[in-house]
Amino acid sequence: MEKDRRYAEDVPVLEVRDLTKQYKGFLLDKVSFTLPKGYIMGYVGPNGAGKSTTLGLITETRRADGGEVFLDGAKYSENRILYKEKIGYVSSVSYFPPMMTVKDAAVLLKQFYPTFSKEKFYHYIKAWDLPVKKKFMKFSTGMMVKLMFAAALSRETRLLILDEATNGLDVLFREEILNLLQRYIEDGEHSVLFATHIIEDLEQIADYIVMVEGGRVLLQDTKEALTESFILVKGEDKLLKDSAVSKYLLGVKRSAFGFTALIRSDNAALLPAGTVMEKPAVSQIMSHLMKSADRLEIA
Amino acid sequence: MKQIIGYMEYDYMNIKRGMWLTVAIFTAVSVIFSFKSAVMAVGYMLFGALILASTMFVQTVQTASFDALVPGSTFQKVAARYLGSFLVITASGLAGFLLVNVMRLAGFSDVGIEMQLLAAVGGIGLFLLSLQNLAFYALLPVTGTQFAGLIRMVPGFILFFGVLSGKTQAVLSGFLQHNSAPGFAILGAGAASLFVGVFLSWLVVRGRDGE
Repeated sequence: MEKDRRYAEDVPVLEVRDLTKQYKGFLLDKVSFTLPKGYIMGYVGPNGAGKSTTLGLITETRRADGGEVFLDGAKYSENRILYKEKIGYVSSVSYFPPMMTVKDAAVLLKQFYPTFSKEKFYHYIKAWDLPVKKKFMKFSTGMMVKLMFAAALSRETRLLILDEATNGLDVLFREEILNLLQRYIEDGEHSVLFATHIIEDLEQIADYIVMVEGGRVLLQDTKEALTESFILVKGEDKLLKDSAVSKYLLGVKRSAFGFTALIRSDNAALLPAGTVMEKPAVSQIMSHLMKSADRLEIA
Repeated sequence: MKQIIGYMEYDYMNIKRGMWLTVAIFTAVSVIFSFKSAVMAVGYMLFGALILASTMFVQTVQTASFDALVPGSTFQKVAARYLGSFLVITASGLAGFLLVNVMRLAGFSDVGIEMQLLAAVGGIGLFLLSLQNLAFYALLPVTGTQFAGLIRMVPGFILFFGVLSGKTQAVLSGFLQHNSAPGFAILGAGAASLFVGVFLSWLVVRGRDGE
């Protein structure tokens, strides 16, 4: 009994193994990562990196060509209804039919999800001032995102998947959502997978970062480890001519005042005295690494 | 079963916007036909039902992400679509039949009611519905919505201009008079074709989606 309980505690909310999907001109190439219970993972990358494809494969709205996804240790094929019940999904694009109303959505959600609570749903609808009788086609982007959050949070989900969900939201609501995500995971049983290219949101709340580019995982680690494993270097162009240093610089960006680049912390000792070094933000790491993706080892 | 009802409700919410206008138009024309022929009045309602049933496919192409996201199997989705369209065509047929009888009772019409012929037309309507649904499942993802108009018009036109034409009706009546109770047998065969349609459509979708 004790052993079973310990095992259950060790099972991550989400485990993705070698997930592969081929489209014309695009390959999602053996993506793997693990999201433990009680954490928020940022899944970042530029447009077209494969973020939405990965999420589509996790939510089983698309079929994978290879690889496996485990939600609470179980695959989709083991219990399809329970698998989807455990996922709450919020996107920047509405998945609700445009001619529906809040009332219609409540009826449908109750029909499909055994744990859906009408009371909770209308609590959020009221709190966010969403019109009950207005058709969704007349909703703004922000209103649709609020609706999707209300739908996802009114059920007993284990994993909240956000696909660019904070795009187009005003600052106040974005702040509210970030607080809400913190509350969602605070019992240590729920997790959030947050795909976005707005890194500022993740700087505040993410515990883990997975960075993808061109369908491949470039690197993944805890946010702290990631920001500590790189150093942001600022200097004059003449430093770039020193090949002993420049070969270790990643994603060099030039400006009228010199350059900025990343260097792995292990290699920082190579930098000459007087070089400006800073701890980078995740957005800076991403911005520089995307420029030098071919020089990174695949994580 | 809950999932099947859920998918049916989802289909209904997708088509309800224009549904009552379609029903009103077809009922109004059916009233005009009821002065002339009971089969034409009922047949025209079935024609309207075929058009209405096809709307489920065309509308949901644009809102596919919701039904992909909610829990449910391919079989449940397909079965719900067939069940929903069966309810639409049955309700339309019965409404046409009721309409003709009301017109007769009210003294506005004195058309004869041939139950065998009506049952046969109903059976053919169900058979065309199966074909239409199967064609949508097989062709719509390949051709896109450009050819949807063609798929949705052909079965209805076969029913209205083919089966309900004076010449075909005469042939059908002749056939029914020389056989014992075949009208209801055709109705039963039409209903059975829906089960075959569900199975074949499920195979098509499952094969394509790799479920």
